[in-house]
Amino acid sequence: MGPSQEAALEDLRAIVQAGLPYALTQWLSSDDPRFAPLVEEVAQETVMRVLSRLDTFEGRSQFTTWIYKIAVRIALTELRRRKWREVSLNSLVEGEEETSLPASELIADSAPGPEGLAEREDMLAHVQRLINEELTPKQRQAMIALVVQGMPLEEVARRMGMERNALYKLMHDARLRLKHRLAREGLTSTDVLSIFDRE
Amino acid sequence: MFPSEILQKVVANIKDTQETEYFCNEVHSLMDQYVEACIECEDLSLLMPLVQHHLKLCLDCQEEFEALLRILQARQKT
Repeated sequence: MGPSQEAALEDLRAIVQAGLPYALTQWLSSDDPRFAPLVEEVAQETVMRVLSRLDTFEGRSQFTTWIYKIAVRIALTELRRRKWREVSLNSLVEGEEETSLPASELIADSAPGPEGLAEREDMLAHVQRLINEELTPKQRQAMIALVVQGMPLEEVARRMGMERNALYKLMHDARLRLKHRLAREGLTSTDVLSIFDRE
Repeated sequence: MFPSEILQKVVANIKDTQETEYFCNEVHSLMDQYVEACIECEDLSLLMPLVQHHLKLCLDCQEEFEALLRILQARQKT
């Protein structure tokens, strides 16, 4: 590699290092001792990824925006991995049992009278039954991790041995199956949600 | 059984579900153009509705969009 190429790579790394702190403000304080090493690590990885994908840049945005997009993906993937590394998917599935409270205890806030409460409980049980009947075990496992536990899509996908895109598609299929099932039963999601809005 | 608020969230997501949606890869490939357009455009409702829709349903992509937006907004000020 010649001096001009080395200088170009150094410029690229400097661009990433200058912008990345703004992206990370919601995730990690710049005073945190992990901050500087993370920025350095992400900048290094970004340079390598940019070089390997340079031929895919189509000039539809500024080159720096394209670089930052790549850097942000690398940085947030790493931060998500660190945040959730102590939690296993198995523990998430086992944790499902802990959520098995009576519906009446779970809808206490603006609960209506006994009839309304019973209607809500019936609908909750119905939605749960649709989930159990329509979704595959894999879709249910992903739903627990994503919706119940709030784990990021990227992390769930990694642990399930899938690409993030494939997991989104899996959950899109799951949502569509539930939507079509509700429709076959003459219901819409708006009908279901309206039951919970009634005083 | 899932808690009530979770089931309601599932149903709300079903409500937002469309037959045709962009997935994460499509949104990622457009993200740089979308963020630049967001900075330049006053009426965001006119921009790439399928990207907007995906960001509503996908927290990971939404976080990446917001992070990228923060960088561009900061660079605009300097």
